[in-house]
Amino acid sequence: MKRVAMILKVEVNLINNFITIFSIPTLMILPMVIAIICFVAGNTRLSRLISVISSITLVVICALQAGYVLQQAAPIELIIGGWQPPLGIRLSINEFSAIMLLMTSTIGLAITFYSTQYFDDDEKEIRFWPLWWFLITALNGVFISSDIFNTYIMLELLGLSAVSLIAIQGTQQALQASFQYLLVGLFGSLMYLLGVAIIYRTYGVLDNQLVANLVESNTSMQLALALITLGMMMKCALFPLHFWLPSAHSNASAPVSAMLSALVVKAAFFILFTFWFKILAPVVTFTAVTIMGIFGAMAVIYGSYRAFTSPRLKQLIAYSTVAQIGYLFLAFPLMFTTPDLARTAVIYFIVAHGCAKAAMFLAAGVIQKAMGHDQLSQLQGIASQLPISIFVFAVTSASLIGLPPSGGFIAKWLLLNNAVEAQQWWWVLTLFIGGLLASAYLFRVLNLAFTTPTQENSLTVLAISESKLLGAVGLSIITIIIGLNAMWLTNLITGSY
Amino acid sequence: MIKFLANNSHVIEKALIIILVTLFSAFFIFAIFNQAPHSNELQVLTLTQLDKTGVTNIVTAVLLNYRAYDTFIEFAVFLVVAIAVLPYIIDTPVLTFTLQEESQVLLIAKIFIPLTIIMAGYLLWIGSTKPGGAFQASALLAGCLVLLSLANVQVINFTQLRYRLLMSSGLIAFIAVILLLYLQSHSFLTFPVELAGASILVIEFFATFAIALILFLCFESINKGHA
Repeated sequence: MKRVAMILKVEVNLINNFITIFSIPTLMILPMVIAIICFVAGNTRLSRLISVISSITLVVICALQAGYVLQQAAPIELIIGGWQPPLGIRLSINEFSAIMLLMTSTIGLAITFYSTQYFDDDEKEIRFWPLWWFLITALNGVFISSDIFNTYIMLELLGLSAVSLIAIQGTQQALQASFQYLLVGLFGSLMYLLGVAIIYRTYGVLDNQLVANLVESNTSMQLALALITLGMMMKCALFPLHFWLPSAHSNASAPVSAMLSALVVKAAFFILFTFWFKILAPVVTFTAVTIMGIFGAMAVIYGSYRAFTSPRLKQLIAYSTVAQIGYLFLAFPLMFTTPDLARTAVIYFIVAHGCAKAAMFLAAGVIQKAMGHDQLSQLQGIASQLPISIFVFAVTSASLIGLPPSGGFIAKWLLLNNAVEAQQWWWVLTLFIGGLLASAYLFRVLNLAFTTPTQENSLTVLAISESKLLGAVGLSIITIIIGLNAMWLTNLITGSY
Repeated sequence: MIKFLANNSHVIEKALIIILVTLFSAFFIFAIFNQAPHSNELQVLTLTQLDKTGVTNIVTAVLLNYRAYDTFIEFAVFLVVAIAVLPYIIDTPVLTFTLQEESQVLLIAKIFIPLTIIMAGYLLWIGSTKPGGAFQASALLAGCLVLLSLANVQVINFTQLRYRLLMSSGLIAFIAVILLLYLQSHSFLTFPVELAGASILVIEFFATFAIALILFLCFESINKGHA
């Protein structure tokens, strides 16, 4: 008995050791090595095999890290090269980033599995894998970075790999969309870099924590925050600057759209959130957060309206992303009065939306493949032909609308509760209108899917296997599970602050 | 009124842009001068730790030791660009190695390329003590390749495995060094003082070729696009 206990203890020690010393670099080096192998070998079979294996490994590592961080209620930190911060770079995983990393790896696994069966063109697939793994490297890099300049480099890697992933689709629209995305991304990164330059000029440090300790409210910091906000708003497509998102996300191939909507915009949001409420917190004023909240509210209504009127399925989902990003910014004014509640709501919302949106895009990809197009007007009766895709679509719709017992419901409930608690009830109105509009545009699709097609435009559906949707089914189940186990997750998040 | 606006929309647009940019610049300059710059304690710190980095040039020390992680990711950015551009090369046929008639460009190339290669090697070598290093050396090498390409001498077929390998070699060398050092010191990207100089040189050596090839690839993708 004693011996077993001892062995267990040794093992726990080993795991703890692994987490604290090896796990953070693994998050960067593993995907990068896979990317290089995929690029150099240029072999689809090998790429698929190692991609699935390493995705599973990443999920295990991220789950261990998240468990460690949430249990210890202390961030995992790593000082690179032994050079203490003003000189070197610090990486850290706190509760927020641990959950983001776990979400990245889980959604990444689902999409990787889907992609192994998605492409029917070998050449496209050969281009896809290395870029895909660099994208995952960049996402991990953004979430673990604790240095404002290092974040810029991660943004560069993220932007360039995302642009190239859209471009491999090869169609005229995809190339145009990716070029526009490239310009938007560059503009966003440069604004961010200018902000960072101003911060560095004033305080001479780049580490998040050191900047946060030194910062005080003055004109140059206001300017820095404004520039960074502008850049990141552009990258996460908040309402007045969302113009590039629908074309970029709807013209990419399904796995890429899923990743862009679920995670890449969230990475920009993550950076913005960190700057507003951690690094440059003293600069933030009530007026500023209210303006962000108003932008968010406008995004919810405008995005939902455009989703309702879009003629194509993927465009509809892309506009829905514009709307859902808006909800995240509704939490900004709430962060000012009730930070703990609002932070929980934001994290919850990101997870719920990420899983739901990724699964929805994957399902839309199958529908598009099977029909050869994604014109909404001709999707009548597909429910009988593609039952799993429609099942995934329906479950994730419930989450996006915010119907119980999905994760989306809890996320909206948290926001609503929070808005009342913070005595800013007017945001509740946006939540209601947004929910109604979301149900309108999503039921539009479901309604069509279940109607029997009329004789003249009877369905011509290609025989296509839906087995690749396994990961998407998994994600939609996750959206339900986090809805049913809401207390557990919220306690975990709030308990760790 | 509406007609006037519609007719002069270009002028109005330009005027608005100019006004906005001017306002922004004014605010920018005001904000910058409102705040004193930091007292550059970091540079002192960089210098005092310099003997532990394995190099004596402060820029190389920052790039490949203090903030080596940034450079590591930067190499990945280069490779992503290469992967993104590569397909546009594959589509066009590769000319075989033919020395056609003696063009002037070829003449220049024959004289300058050997010198430039030596120069690149020198720049790479002195990177540890003086300004120089992988990026400068690779720019020179890429220049040689561009000169050859302009003289119609095709030496590189980017689709081959060895060139893909060479393009990733900077990153591969970096990862190899990181993993080997991990075995030794159990910490991420820590160069032990006695090995630091050699490790940095290895990384820079491979990075020179990788970056040169990628720069040339970018040139070729535009060049062939026009042809």
